[in-house]
Amino acid sequence: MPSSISPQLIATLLEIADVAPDATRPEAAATWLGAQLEGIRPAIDDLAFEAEPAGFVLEIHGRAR
Amino acid sequence: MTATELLALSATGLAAQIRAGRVRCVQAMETVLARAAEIQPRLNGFIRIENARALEAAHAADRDAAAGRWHGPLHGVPMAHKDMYYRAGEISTGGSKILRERPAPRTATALARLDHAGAIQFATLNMSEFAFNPTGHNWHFGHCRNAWHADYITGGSSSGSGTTVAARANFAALGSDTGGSIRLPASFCGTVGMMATYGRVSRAGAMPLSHSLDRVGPLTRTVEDAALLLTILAGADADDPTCETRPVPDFVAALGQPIKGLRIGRPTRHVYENADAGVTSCMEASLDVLRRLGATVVDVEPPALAAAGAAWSIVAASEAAALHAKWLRTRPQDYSDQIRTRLAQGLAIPAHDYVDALRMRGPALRAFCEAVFSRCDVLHAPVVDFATPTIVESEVGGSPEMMAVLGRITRLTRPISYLGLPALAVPAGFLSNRLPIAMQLVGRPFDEATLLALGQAYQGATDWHLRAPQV
Repeated sequence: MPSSISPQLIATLLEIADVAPDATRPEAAATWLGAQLEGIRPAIDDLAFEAEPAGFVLEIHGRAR
Repeated sequence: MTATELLALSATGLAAQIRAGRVRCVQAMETVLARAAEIQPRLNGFIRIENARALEAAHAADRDAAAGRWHGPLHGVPMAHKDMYYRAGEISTGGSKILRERPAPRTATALARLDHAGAIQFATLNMSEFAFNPTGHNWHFGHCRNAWHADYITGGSSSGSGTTVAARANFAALGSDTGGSIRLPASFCGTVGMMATYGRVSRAGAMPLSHSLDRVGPLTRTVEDAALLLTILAGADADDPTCETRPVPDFVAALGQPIKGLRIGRPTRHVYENADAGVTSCMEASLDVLRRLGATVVDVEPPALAAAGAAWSIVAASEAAALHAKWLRTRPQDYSDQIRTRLAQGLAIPAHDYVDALRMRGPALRAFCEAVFSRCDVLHAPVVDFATPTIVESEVGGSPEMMAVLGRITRLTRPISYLGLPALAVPAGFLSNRLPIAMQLVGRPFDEATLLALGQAYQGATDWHLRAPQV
């Protein structure tokens, strides 16, 4: 399956992080990352505009009470 | 009592024998140290065994017992921990080459609480490098091997925790779970594994992998031991701001709560889609046992487990990459190929996708609880959906197929980690390859008591946990 992420982008982001480009395999990383992002996209699109990361902590501790 | 009889005791059972004066702490320690030395060449479950210090502590525990100074419910019980729990000034390798050089900055709250309860830590345990591998391979300290068959993986990352407890070379172990690292070795090695709710147990002083996902917990022979250890480990800690501040239940007392009428959810989507027939058969048999105990089995449809698994990947990879970015720049050669490859690809995740993966976590938990726990009290599933692979079969290194292989192993554990829910792995039979398999009982947030009571009742009706490998 073609990835929505290009291997060149992976290599560039590693360069920005000042990490050697051969630290990972850009082709495989692009395939993997593309699949993960596609996996969450529908749920993200359904999120309320106001949803924030701290919502999880409130949710799980709220259910303890 | 013979050595075999002593080593067959659970941690709770040994504590009772010590308290009754039938076993001395030194006797228990000498026996377990001899057993550890015996199995180490075959299983490689330990990283460091502290013979002299452990024996000295056991002598002191005997002296204190003779003087009536009992330290706690685990007085004199030998334990070992995954080599990622810090003790101030000592080395915790994290299964890595890099941390082998660094004295730990503090003592882990979990270790301090076990010390206070009287347990004696006699060794540190092998683990996956930086706790970032679900198979138990370790390219720095050697691969850990399964006590039931040394050609097979232990599961990881708490690999030594699983195999040493299974091999009767350790009465109980501390492990950690970010995406399955307690439950997987518990399932592959045939032990109990308790991953409590995110926030139930302090992670302070435990080597971090992913702050949003890391959890601390025990691997034990019995559910009763898991209940005791969780009671000791759980509770508020000023050093871990994620900890729940409400009082901790007495999980041992709660073991006797009634099972009759409990509703057990059998998932109708995602979980069994690719499951081996042998796994499905073991799970159905375990549900039959729970029915005979008075529980009711109902079908449930857990929502969005695949999305939860993908979100876990984004969060874990991003946070792990952030923790390791400096060493990836300066010491890339000191990582194994697999761990460096996995960590470095986390550097390529866009920041907004990481934030989005965290933003969807609260709504995902709410949707899951409403869909599942409105219909049942406990969700029942396998920990893994296929037979244990061999070490050679799963030796993928940093190859292009690595992520697919590792993702398959954690397919049923990562979503539960992402949702922050408690899960108890309980041995539930053996597959045709004669290796054990566990069921995964998933509960409402902070309802570990129900999971433990159900697991205890199940172990009262089965004998899987009493079977020992011939190592």
